[in-house]
Amino acid sequence: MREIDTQVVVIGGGATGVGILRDLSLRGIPALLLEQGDLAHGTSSRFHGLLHSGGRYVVKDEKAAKECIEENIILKHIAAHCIEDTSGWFVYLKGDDPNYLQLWIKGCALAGILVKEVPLEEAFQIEPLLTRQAKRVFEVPDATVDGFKLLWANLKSAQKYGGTYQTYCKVQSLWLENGHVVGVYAEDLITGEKLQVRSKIVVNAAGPWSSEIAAMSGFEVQMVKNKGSLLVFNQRLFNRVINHLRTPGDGDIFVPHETVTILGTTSHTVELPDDHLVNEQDVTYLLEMGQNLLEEIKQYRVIRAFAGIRPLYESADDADHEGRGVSRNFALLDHEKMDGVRGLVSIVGGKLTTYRLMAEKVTDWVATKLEVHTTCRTAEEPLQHEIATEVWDQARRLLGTAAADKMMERLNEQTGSVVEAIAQQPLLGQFVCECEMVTQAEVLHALQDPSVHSLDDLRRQTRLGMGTCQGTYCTYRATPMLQQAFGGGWERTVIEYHKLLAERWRGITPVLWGEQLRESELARALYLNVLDFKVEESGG
Amino acid sequence: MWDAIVVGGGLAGWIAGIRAAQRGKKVLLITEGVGTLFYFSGIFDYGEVENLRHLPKHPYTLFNSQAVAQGKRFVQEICPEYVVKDTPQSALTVLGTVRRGDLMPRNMVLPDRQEPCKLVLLVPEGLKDFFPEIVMANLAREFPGWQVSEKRMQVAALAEWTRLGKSVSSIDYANIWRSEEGQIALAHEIDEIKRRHQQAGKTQERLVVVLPSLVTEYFDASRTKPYQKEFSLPILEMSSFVPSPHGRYFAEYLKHVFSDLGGELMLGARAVSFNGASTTENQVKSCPELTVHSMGKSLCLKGEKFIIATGGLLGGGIKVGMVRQSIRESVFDLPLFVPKGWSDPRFLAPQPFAQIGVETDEWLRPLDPENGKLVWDNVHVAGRMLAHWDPWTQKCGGGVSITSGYAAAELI
Repeated sequence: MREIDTQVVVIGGGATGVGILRDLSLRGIPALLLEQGDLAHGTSSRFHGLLHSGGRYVVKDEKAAKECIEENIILKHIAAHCIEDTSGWFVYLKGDDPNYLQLWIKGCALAGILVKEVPLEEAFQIEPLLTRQAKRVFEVPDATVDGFKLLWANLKSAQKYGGTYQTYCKVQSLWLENGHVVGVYAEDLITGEKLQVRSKIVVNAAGPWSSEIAAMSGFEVQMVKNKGSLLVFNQRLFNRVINHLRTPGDGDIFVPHETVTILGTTSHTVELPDDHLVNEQDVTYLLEMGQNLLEEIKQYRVIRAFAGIRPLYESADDADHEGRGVSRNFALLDHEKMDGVRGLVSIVGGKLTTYRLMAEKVTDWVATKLEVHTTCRTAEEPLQHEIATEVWDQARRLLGTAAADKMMERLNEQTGSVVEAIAQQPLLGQFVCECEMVTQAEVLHALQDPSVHSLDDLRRQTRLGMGTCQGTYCTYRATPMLQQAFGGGWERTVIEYHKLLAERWRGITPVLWGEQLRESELARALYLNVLDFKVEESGG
Repeated sequence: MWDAIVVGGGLAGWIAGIRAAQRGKKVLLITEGVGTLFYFSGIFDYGEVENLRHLPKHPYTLFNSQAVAQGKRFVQEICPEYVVKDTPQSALTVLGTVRRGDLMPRNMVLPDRQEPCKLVLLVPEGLKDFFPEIVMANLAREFPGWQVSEKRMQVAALAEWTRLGKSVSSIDYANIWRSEEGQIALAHEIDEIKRRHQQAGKTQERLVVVLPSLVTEYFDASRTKPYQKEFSLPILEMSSFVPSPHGRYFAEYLKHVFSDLGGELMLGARAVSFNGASTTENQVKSCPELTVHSMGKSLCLKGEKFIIATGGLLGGGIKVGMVRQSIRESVFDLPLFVPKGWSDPRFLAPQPFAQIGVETDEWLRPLDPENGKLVWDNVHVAGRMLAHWDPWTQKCGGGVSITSGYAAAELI
């Protein structure tokens, strides 16, 4: 049993949890974050990657819209390297509700969202695939955000100020004394070691797992687990975010990311916090809905389907909820007020765009309890670092501009050592992942991170396997580095291959047709024939 | 008017075309692309033929063991470096693991395990998708008690390239090995290995040089008879990764063999449809001609018989539309067998979709799987397009393609 003493335990390594860790660390409050899997393995890596302008919410929820636009501006400032400022369009189609259009324009003005109408002819020139059913097109400051990069940037910043974290560490129960929470009991899932962490406050930021955490001690967090399914196309169909200008619904957002485009989403209530299975009906439905904005959608190649669980807050009493001073979209639940238990707070609901604001509210609450009077600095202090000009120049000289820039966005202030390694040994500049332009040197660097325990963890840090080949080539190319980093000989390496291929296959099976089916046959030929992997038993 | 028009330039198509031409037939081979030989490891797998023959409707059920053996011998006849033995042989994968195989070039066959020898892995600098450390570790694991060592080599022509951190594909290296400078450099390295070995006084040990990718000229594809040097030590070639030099040169070689036998070729042409109708309701359709799109033109080509070897899902012979609303044999719209289940949750397990394809009678003529009726009288199907098999989990890709291609040619 390992004993740890700290001020605050944060449960959950998604964007909110890591955002809270950063905020606490910046205010000088010692904190430990515990995550049952790898960072961002839940909702934070399972969304469309849209940095909302708020345009989607202006009609139904003015407050949420205002929060979005404020956070949108802040994040573009503090995390520019994680965001592609694509802008976004709201497209009003033939037959859409004209009343909604009027309400939307008014709502944007009220929320402070800058709207510019794009002449139709110009719109078709800029986005040639846009449906000719479009009647009016409005530009808003939507953008796309790389949830992985953002989360790791927050983590690095938190670490710099003393924040600590442990992944693959599952909270087993809350530690209660005299009816109050004084810490947690947890288990290191890799070593099997038990942990006993004493703290003044426990923050439950476990997203879809929040109700499970609270339930450990018999408390209730009223939450709806809502599954959203998304599709990934193998190319950039659009260069900006495309929204359907109507009451928000299913399959009405296209978000371009690096080399791919994501179409989302659906909305179903589910029971389990990790129900990430996408069925073919969802896929068919998304394609039908997507057709409204992109008529020829069925000609394009879907490389993957995935799903995330939205942890939506459901209050029994709206007035009471408003009384907590947070928006309807996220809620801070003080268990002292609700259940008479000191030392525990839960944060539920919200969206990635407002993760920083949620973290700020939680940290304000914690600071008050701990009587710490430092103010929040997360809105001002940038997450990225100025990279020295020499490093930029050298990286671009060695790798070319496109690959160098992508690498520097991912690595930020740690770029220097990787560039140095490539300069010393130029062949380390070979790409492991050609889709996302990840070099051997970068993979080796990521593998030094003690929290990388598998090829799948490596994927979240480097985007390896997330491009158009879906892991066919890059899994193979990572072989020597994996064996070096993980040890365990060939058997272990083969297990890692299997795990990553299985994870990728799960996302491919719902879209197994067309060119993606062909690509899958190629992958089977490679692994079963060329590399002579053993045939698996049928999984039924 | 041709005796036979072969559609598809993959393994089955070439084998069919060459065999038909060898039998003195007037043959035209049409191919749109390059086929899937470019993913070829260099080894033909036949799988457990006798077991597979008992699976319902497996392509092997269409052939007797004599037909299978004939196909094997034919490969050896046209490409003498391919060794035919009764028992399966073993070779190295690109990872240095040992795999079995039924038909492979002489230089790829592993030495007898009972007679330990010393393996020296010769690693060309910057070879893409090749991992010397892994190969070394796997060789040591696969051959316990054998001595395994590594030697790196640099080719002058690529020195600047690799110095800049650029990798070199195995196809590029194969080109280098086919040049005079390449052969000399390689021979020099091998001599050096031998010399050091002798200096160390270990003359009685058997020494084998292991080389990634294709280094020997096991068929003279270019017809130029490049400079060829005898190496001072025996060579063991590893099988190819993709893009495969073995596949590339093998395809090129088959093309030459076919042309030499008088076969006619139409490259970059897309077969579009059969033009034929049954004369009466109940009569089986016989196809007189084929429409082909080539270089912006549409042509009608007449043939006695047609051999369809356009491949399966990977080769592009079978196309599956979005949400599987359409599943079509992409050229002639032949009726397909489509399995009820579609995929298995385990990626490397037998996949139902792999079974998709055309069912045939014993003369390889397409049948309608609905009613078992013959669709075309003078059309034969060969290779991956056949239904009810999975080349990757049954390890019989080469076997079915060679056997069916050869058998189709015998029917012309």
